[in-house]
Amino acid sequence: MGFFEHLAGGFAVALSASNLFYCAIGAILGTAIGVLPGLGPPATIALLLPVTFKMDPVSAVIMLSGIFYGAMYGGSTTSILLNIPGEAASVVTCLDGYKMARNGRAGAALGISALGSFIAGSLSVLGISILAPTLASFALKFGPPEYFCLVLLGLMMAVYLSEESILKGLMMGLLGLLLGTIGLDPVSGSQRFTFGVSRLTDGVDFVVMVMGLFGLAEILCNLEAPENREIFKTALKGLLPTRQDWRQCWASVVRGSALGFFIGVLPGGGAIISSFAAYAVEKRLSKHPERFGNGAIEGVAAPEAANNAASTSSFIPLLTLGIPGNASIAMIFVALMIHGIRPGPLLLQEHPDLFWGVIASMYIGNIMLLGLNLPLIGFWVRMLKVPYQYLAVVVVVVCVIGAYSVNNSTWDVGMMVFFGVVGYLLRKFAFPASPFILAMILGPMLEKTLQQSLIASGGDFLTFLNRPISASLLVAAGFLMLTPAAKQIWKKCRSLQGG
Amino acid sequence: MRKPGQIVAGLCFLAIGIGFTVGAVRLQIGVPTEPQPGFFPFWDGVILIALSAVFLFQAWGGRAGESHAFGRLGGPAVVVLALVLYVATMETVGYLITTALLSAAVLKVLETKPRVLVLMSLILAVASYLIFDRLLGVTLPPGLLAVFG
Repeated sequence: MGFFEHLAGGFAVALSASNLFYCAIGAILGTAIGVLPGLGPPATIALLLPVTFKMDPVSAVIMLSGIFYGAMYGGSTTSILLNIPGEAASVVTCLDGYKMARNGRAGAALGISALGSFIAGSLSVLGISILAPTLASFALKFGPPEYFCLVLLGLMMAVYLSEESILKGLMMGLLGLLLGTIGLDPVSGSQRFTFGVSRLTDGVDFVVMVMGLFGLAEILCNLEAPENREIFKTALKGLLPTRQDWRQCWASVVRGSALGFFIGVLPGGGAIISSFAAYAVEKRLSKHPERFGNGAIEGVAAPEAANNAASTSSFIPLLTLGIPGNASIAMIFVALMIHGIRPGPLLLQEHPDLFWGVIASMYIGNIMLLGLNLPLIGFWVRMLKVPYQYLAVVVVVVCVIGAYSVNNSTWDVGMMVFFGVVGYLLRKFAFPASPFILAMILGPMLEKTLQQSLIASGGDFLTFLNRPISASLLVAAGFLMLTPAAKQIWKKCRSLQGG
Repeated sequence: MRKPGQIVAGLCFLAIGIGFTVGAVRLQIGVPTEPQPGFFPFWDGVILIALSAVFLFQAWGGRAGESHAFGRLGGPAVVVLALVLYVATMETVGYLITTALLSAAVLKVLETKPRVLVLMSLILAVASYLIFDRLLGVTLPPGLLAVFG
């Protein structure tokens, strides 16, 4: 079967009544959590995972994916109207979006944000449709050494691209690897670090941990100083950008889409970095960089396009290599595993309905999101007027029920509270959570492939360098780690020469 | 400037690294040709110890990077305490009563008016029970209310 036949098959799956329903639910929930500060996509996906246990796996992934990319659409609304990003990926949209709102152009900012997101999301889905099958067939050549180096590179990327220091990122990554070893040894099957607690035999529950780290921790941080949200009052007129607006920013949307797509494909890359990178590129390319930060429409269009393109393309490493690139995608990885589906290069052959169905649902989801975000903008703005205390208490109760429903046990609620406190402290000391989450989920794969490689090569560590693909991946990982150190040495040498 | 919090964080990481390394030795490490269950955690632990030492060195010199100042700690402390009590009593007292009390604690911290606090806590406990227990089939503990069937 060719590409178009596969895609047509995917549309047949995605257009079934139940999948359309779940796609719509995902898009609506995604927009809602994007609009409301306090609960991000990883925690929402974790909270909804138990609900998906009885669902068809294709429908489950379609809904969870909709939440993830839908949040990128919704996140811009609070950035533009409140100067508070609903999502971390929309932080940079505050800079010019809020200024546009203050200049009486809130409608245009929201409009270009939704349309730019739609264009970027659609282009990115097209990119996935073309690139993913090629990458999956290439990945079939991978053996344990290649997989080991690929996972290592993914983790190094997560550390390198985390907003905090590389040292803190590495420490968090190692902590994740160590916590990932709790439970059964993937090779021998013997128990490790369970201390006789039977609940720990299956390891630390990932879903419960994410609810604590991302859901409860966020609420605890906000309880320190309850925020005073003030919606910028303006008439939301002229949601469709003018011709002049389009002339000014069409190239920014295209550039943002392309940049976001490629950053999203990288393991560890994602919507946050791509939005900042797109903003920086636009500012640098502009003939009037002084307009940025004062309400430049390109400053809204490019990052919004980039974060949507990246959120879509970050499905590529998951669907083709079995490597989740960020915390939200890691939750979808967990959802697939719960349904007995192993993401990776064989997914395309073993579950083509899921692979192509999810991709086709993204086309449909983007159209739904455009419909949800432009005509219903008034509804989302009204939702922002819900007092924060109501939102906070609902999140706490939903976290509690979500954790309890995983195994119908208060042990999991206790673990969620524990990780909530840990997440709160990690935020205070600026330790990044992403490397920790990814290391915990990829740790067992890293360990298994390391042991398989060593046993097969008779304990020869050079096996990783003797194979061209694994050697290239290892060199890339090493380069990422050494670059910051080299930069510091270079700076020191220059300051010594200067002084 | 030296930040004691960063030093404490570094010491925690160091302790975790040492704990896992010692535990891995007890599990047996093995050799590369025949790795044992302790092999992977041992080397992870060793690297974590080394990095924690570097971090502590930096923290001591005031170069451990950014950290965010703590605000009013009363709110988070009350909610965490309420959650601990919730976990301890949920099975015996039951979902409805404990959830109403937990909600009240969170709303109190957020300075909600008493009448709204009571109403909101009750509505949330009952609504979440109906949605999750009755509609979605999550079996929530009835506790003391089990006598009413």
